[in-house]
Amino acid sequence: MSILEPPRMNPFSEGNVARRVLPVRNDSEVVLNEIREIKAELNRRVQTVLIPITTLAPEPYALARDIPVVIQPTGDEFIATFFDANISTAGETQEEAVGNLRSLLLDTFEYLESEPAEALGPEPARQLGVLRAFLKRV
Amino acid sequence: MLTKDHAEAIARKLKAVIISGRKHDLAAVKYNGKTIAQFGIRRGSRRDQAHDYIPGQIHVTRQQATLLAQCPMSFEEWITVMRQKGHIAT
Repeated sequence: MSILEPPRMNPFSEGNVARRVLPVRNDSEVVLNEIREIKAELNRRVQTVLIPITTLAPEPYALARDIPVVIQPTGDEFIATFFDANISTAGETQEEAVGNLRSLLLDTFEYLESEPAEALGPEPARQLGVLRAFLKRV
Repeated sequence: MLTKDHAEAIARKLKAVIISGRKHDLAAVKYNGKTIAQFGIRRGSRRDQAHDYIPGQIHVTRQQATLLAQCPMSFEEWITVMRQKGHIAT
């Protein structure tokens, strides 16, 4: 090589490789993060199940219709929600979460019924109305 | 994750009346003599029991519930949020 010729760039030099690889690596991390988020969301959706409460036995209550309960994972546990009444609780297993919700629905119903109507704010009054449409004491 | 400690701290912060239930202690939050929200606190000795459902029961975000439990959000600030959301008549 003559001293007048410009130095030829080595395409495999450390600097060149780094310049080409680093953006690709950054893009890959972005894609990987998106895949992780999609996977987590998918897991949440797959694990979300609808289980009806069909009886309140042996409690002295009858159901006018089944209570739809949505079970969603949260960490190592499960949240059970009766969305119409906006009442939720949790449990270590899906079964425990539903069992806990069954008892909380009755606790809430009994508490709200024990209060004078004028002592309930808009949301508790609405919750009591929803609960009355689903269950009654026998 | 909101734990049982958080749930109890929120109940204290909101001056909730605690009613003993079947498997929960029911925390009833009252303002001017009216119940405006209630939530269940699970029984059991495990302090790390999940109570992630509480924000929805007291009409705040998870972040606001954490602020209530950890102190930065006061009872009065929560009442302001409830007024804004129509859970307390203005």
